[in-house]
Parts: sequence; structure tokens; C-alpha cells
Amino acid sequence: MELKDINVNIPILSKNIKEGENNKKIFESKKLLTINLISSPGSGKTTLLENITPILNEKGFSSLVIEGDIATTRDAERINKKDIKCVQINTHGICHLESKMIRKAFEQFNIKNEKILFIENVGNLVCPAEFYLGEHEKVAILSVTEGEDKPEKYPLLFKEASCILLTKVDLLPFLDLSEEDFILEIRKLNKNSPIFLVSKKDKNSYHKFVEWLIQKYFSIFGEAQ
Amino acid sequence: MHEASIVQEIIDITTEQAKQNNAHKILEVEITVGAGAMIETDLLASAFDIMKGETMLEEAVLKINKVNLKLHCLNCGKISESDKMVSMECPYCHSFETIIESGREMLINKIIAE
Repeated sequence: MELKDINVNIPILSKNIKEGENNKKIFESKKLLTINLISSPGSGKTTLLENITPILNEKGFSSLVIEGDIATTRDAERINKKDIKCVQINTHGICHLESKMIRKAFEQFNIKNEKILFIENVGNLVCPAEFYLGEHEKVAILSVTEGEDKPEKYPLLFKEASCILLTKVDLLPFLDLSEEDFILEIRKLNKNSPIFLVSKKDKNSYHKFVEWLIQKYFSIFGEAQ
Repeated sequence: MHEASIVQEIIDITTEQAKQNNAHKILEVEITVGAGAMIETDLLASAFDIMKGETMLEEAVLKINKVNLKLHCLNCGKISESDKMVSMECPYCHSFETIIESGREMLINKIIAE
């Protein structure tokens, strides 16, 4: 048998990137700002969505949510209670979401005039940072109880995030850390992206992030309603 | 963590390439992995050995070229290299204002097939 030396030169994740680009075209055709939420498990991603989606609704920015979890539909059940359209993806052990999973989940939505699609990624600071889903923005979430060293330990996500949310800030008085400690560590890696401090104990704490989302929407799709 | 997903992509892409070249068996796959790509190469090799069974790659050997992560420091202008992604800190001036110059690639270079 003759041996063939075949030059390939193809990025390993090229299919995922291409499918991500296709997703983005679909999202843009539906005028959906798409946000990929990435954090450790238990940092408060679902709580964030439970709190901001009603505020966004009031402002005329209704949302769709894709929930990524390794197992269970518990997060989707929580979001559905808020009357937000939500589709659950169970990855069955896979530690991140991929573009193809997003496309299949997205096909299940009955879209009316929603303006924002939130993708709540699988709780993990490593793998989701490697897989593009077609999102406009990556948002990193860090809870104060995880410690201020996480940005430096997981630099890729914090470097790439276009916005960073510090959650559970009402617990700061019980920790040996201040809000400045966290901001200093985040700023080491990311000089420019906005950092918002939020807590479910203070509903007003979400407004700045909501405003940031609305501004992002306008910057992509224009102000004409 | 996500090495199995990466191996599945390698199997799919190389199988397709082999078929396009009228080959029916892949004997070697050569890939390049940057130190800044979130891949554990030992895990990747183990996953490859497990997953290649009953595919065109059953007898294939995986060759992994590792390339360093190159950081360009915006503060002092120097370029530093590392074989691990341990920090984004510039080792010369300790600034964190660095840009990843290269070392995030995950590429299939070539295959040898028959």
C-alpha cells in the first residue's frame, strides 16, 4: 500500500467556530443581543437572571434564556417561574456548551419580539472560555466567596470578558476581603471592561448592568425601536 | 476536562481528509497545541487512544507538537515565553498588561494515511 502524506492545516475547533458564526447570523437576523455567561458553579448566574430579566422586561427588553447544565432541569424551572422563555440543555457530563448544542436549543424557541438571549454556560471557569457559541459578549461572573485569586488563576476568561460581575457583595462584611481587593485583581488582567457589583439583597444593584446590556443592544442594532 | 470533545473533532476532521484522498486507514496524526490552549496533552493522548478504536484511526499514532505561550508586555515591550499558562504576568517588569502574541493554537498539521 502506498503511504500518503496529507497536509491538513485545519484548526481543531474550526467546525465549532463555523457553527458559532452561523448562530451569530441567526441571532442577528432576529435582532437578539446574545450574552454568554461564564462562571464557577454556584457563583449566582441563575440568581442574576432571575433578578435582571424582570427589570429588562419593564424596559421593553424581554429575554430568552438557554440553560446549560451537566444534569437536572432545576435552573430552567427557576427561570420558567419568572415567565421567561427558557430552554434547558443537559450536556450529560460535558463540561462546556458547544455551538451545535446552542443551535438545537434555539430552534425550540417560539420567538416573538425578544431582544436579548442569555446563554448560561455550564459552571466552569476553564473549558467554556475555549468554545465560541456565536455570542456578542462574554460576561464573567465571580462571587466574593470564591476568593480574589480566581482571575489570576483563570486568566483567559477574565482577560476576554467584556464585562465582569462581582456577585454576593452583601457577604463582604463577613470576609477578610474588600471590594477593592477584587477590583485590583480583576484590573491586573483586564484594564477596561466594566466591573459591576451586585447582590440579590439590593435589587437596585442590578441597574448598572441592565443599562450596560441595553447600551450594547443599541450599539449593535441601533436605537430605532 | 474537554479533551474528549477535542479528540472527537480530530477524528472527524482527519477521517474526512483521508476519505477525500481515497485513503482507508490513518497511521499518523500530527497536531500542534499551544501552551495557552486549555488542553492537557497527556489527557488528550489518553483520550485519543481510547476513542480511536473502531475508526479509521485505530492504528494511528498521535504526534503532538507543543508550542510555547508568547506574551507581549505593553508596559516594557518585552516578549516572554512559557511552556505553561500559569499567569499573564510579565516576568521582566511584573506588569499584567500583556497581550497573548501566540500559543493559543490547536491545529491539525497533517496525517499519514494509506
